[in-house]
Amino acid sequence: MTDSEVQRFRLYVIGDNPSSRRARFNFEKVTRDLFNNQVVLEVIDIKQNPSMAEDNHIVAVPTLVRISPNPCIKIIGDLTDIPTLRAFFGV
Amino acid sequence: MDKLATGIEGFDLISQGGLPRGRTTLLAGTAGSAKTVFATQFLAEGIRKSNSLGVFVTFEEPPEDIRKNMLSMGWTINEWEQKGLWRFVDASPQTDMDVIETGEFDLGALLVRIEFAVNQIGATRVAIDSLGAIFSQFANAAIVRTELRRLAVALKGMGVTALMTTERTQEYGEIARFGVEEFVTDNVIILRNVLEDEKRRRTIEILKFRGTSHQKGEYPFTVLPNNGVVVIPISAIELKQRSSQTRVTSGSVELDRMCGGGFFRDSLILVSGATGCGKTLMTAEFINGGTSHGERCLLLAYEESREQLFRNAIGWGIDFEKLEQQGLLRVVCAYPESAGLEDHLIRVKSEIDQYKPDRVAVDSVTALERVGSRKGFREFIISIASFVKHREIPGLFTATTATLMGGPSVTESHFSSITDTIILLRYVEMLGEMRRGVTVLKMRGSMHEKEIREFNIDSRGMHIGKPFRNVVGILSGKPEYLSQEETDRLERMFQD
Repeated sequence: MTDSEVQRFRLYVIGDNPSSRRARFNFEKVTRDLFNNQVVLEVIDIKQNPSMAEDNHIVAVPTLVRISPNPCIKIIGDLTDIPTLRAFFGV
Repeated sequence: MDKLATGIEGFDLISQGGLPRGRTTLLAGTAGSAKTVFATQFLAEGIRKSNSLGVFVTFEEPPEDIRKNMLSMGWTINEWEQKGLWRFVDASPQTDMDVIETGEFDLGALLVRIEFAVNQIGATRVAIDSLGAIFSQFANAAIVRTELRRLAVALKGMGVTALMTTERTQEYGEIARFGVEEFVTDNVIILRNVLEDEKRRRTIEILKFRGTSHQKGEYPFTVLPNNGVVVIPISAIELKQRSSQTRVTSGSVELDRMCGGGFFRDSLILVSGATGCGKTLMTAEFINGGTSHGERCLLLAYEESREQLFRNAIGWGIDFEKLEQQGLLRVVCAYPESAGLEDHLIRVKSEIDQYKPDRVAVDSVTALERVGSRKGFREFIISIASFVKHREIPGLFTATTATLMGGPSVTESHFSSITDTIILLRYVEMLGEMRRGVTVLKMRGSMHEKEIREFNIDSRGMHIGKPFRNVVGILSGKPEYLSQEETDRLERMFQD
């Protein structure tokens, strides 16, 4: 992975509740180490933007979707299981 | 409790008005029991018949498949979506993407999407297909169960009438897999697709509607192209027909006389006899009698081909072809094995609805005995009789006895209690000759002759002659010839 390659993510949540906060916290922790902050995260509150959830087939919250680079990956849950997450990112 | 008429034919009758309004009903069934068709139809009939809009939540098939598959039912979902009458909430599994689960989650996004779709178009009906499929999308079944309970509560809050489908593994056993009936407990419907006597038989049963009434037990249904699910409401058909005193001709002056002046206009007539003893002829006479008074007649033939039937009728001096051209007759020939009993029944019903005949003849009902199970056949006979009776027109049905010399048939035993008139045709062996006898066994609400008369068939049809005077045991199939002396003695026995 080159440094120039930026990873783009979208995190779908509902409001600002403990599980969405946990997901954001865990996400930042893992990506800071792994990708040297070469990540862009967009947080979408589907209560405010339900059609975004519809268009992207989001059923559960929190759901993290890697938009680029390909392939697209969907991670469901509050990301508490960090070893799994790291393994998933190929580390 | 208030009910919402679904518009699904027959279902509103057995449910005594439809689904409980504003509630969620569980629709459970094995694979291939037509759950998705029923769920789709619930929304489709809402749009077509009562202008109520619907949201379809799919956990299983992608919307594209549903749109395509349901076109054969005549439901133009694509068009309805464009007009804003139908919305999909697509929660089908995404095959093009890797999905992993880590940590806790809930299905809040699904709830938000359903609520959004419902509010956006102002939907009053929601179909969810199927709960089993959402369980297989997530590893954590406990979360799914909790979330579905939340969904049921949320649907109630939205004020919609909802139908959730769910899988079963057995036709008779636990209500549903994954214990889903625990959170959608109030209203449960079961669809079955049972193999019985090597034939598939679909039935629907309303297991419970909390706080409101419904018909109990299993009702047969069929799935037809362009119609979808059609439930056959056997015993839910109300017997509220008026009884007519108007007489119509049987087509034979002599038979009219035997019946005390003809058949009643709204009666069911059963003609029973062995093969070849004149049932089809009597059917033809019945039709001829109708058409000669300008009545429209419908003939449903299950034993002979059109050509055979028309040729035989010509032999008796009745020209079916000409009658058809005059618009007074419609002949429908069907090979019994060509369809299941339910499909035959629906066909008969739609023929009657479309042609609007003044009299109907079915020759013979017995031919259909072999198509279904005994139970299915019984239901078939009762339904067909009810359809005809509801129209307040005479219906003549023929039944073939199993043995040449008479005796009861299955058809008769199912039929005799609902028929108003029973006519027996029997072979009579007399002095080395086969002759034919006819008698009116029963005629509800009228005097009728008790004698067994001889009848002959020639190129002008049927001729009923004199009673068999010196013969006993015709109906039991063992006729005995009595001498004149014996006859006189027997007659004296019953005189004071």
